[in-house]
Amino acid sequence: MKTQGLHKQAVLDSQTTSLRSDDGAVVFNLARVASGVYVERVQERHGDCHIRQAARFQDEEGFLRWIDSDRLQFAHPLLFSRIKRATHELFHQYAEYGPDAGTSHRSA
Amino acid sequence: MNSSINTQSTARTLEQVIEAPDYFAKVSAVVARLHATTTQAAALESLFDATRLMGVDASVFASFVRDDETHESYRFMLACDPRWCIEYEKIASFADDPWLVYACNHSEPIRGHEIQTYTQRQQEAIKMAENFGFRSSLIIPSPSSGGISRLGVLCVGSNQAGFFDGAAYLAFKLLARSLAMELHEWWVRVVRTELISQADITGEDLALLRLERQGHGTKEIARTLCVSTRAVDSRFYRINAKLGMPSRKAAARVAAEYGLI
Repeated sequence: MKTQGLHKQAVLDSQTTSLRSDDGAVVFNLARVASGVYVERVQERHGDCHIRQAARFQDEEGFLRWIDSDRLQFAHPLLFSRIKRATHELFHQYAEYGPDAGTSHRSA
Repeated sequence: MNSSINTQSTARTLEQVIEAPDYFAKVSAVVARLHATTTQAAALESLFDATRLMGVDASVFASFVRDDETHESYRFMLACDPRWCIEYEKIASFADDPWLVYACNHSEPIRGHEIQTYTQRQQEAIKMAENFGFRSSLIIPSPSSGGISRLGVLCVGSNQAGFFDGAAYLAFKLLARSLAMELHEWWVRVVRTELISQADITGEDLALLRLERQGHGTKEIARTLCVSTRAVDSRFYRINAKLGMPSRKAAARVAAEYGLI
């Protein structure tokens, strides 16, 4: 039913970077926010369960602790490497220019 | 492990926390902010702010939708150490989560230690939460008209044992309940907005769904709307397709659950 898709497509900021696995089962949405970096991890599990986690990180160390604890990294190493790079960039921009610095809107 | 997002709460009791000047006004202002919030990032920011101002160490707002017989959707907004959710996924199936199970069957807030656990997996889920800022916890269901096919639950936690057991519990519960209800309303509003825009539901569609929900048959609906019975059937066929529902009855139920009619 359509509400399933609607639950998937939660409202995100317009300035969001989306990174997805080749099979589309795992998606990360990243955005810089006033207090750090917002990360949304979306997973379609076994075709019967859809899980969306929204978290916010104030520093890159906290983000790396979280992402490195995720066992999905072993199934999707390239995706996780891209996520780390993209998030590093967001934290770098945040540190350099503050929360209102140049933003991105792209999908990969 | 530093599992607190609140650096000031560790040494204070709940009684001391709520005695802070303008405590209720400050938390209420953040709760009220949710009303105008349109993005999940902003809603999460409000949850972080409310958690800090309430003087607790962690909070999670979880929402659940049973999409159909074979598919379920969960959403977690994490104002806590987010590794909790990664670990939670590893060890627990959601059906084994005693907090979620409680929220499915009750509307009253409850302290975590008051919830009975029956299985080892339930006990593991509780123990694991204790390591992530929920050594003591308060579970606040936010029931909806969708019954157990759609629900939200706010869990707030403290690293201090017995944090919610003092005399200030009742006052705190009121505040936490208002936060849970506003978060739930925000979530339903988001889903409703998406439902209308993506399914392209019209005013005529809503009128038909309303009549169906009231229990009227095809002939009666046709008479009310001054159209043929064939036109009624045809319109319902299109509505069902828009909503991805197998029947007009199911379409009317979804429309009612999401507050469209």
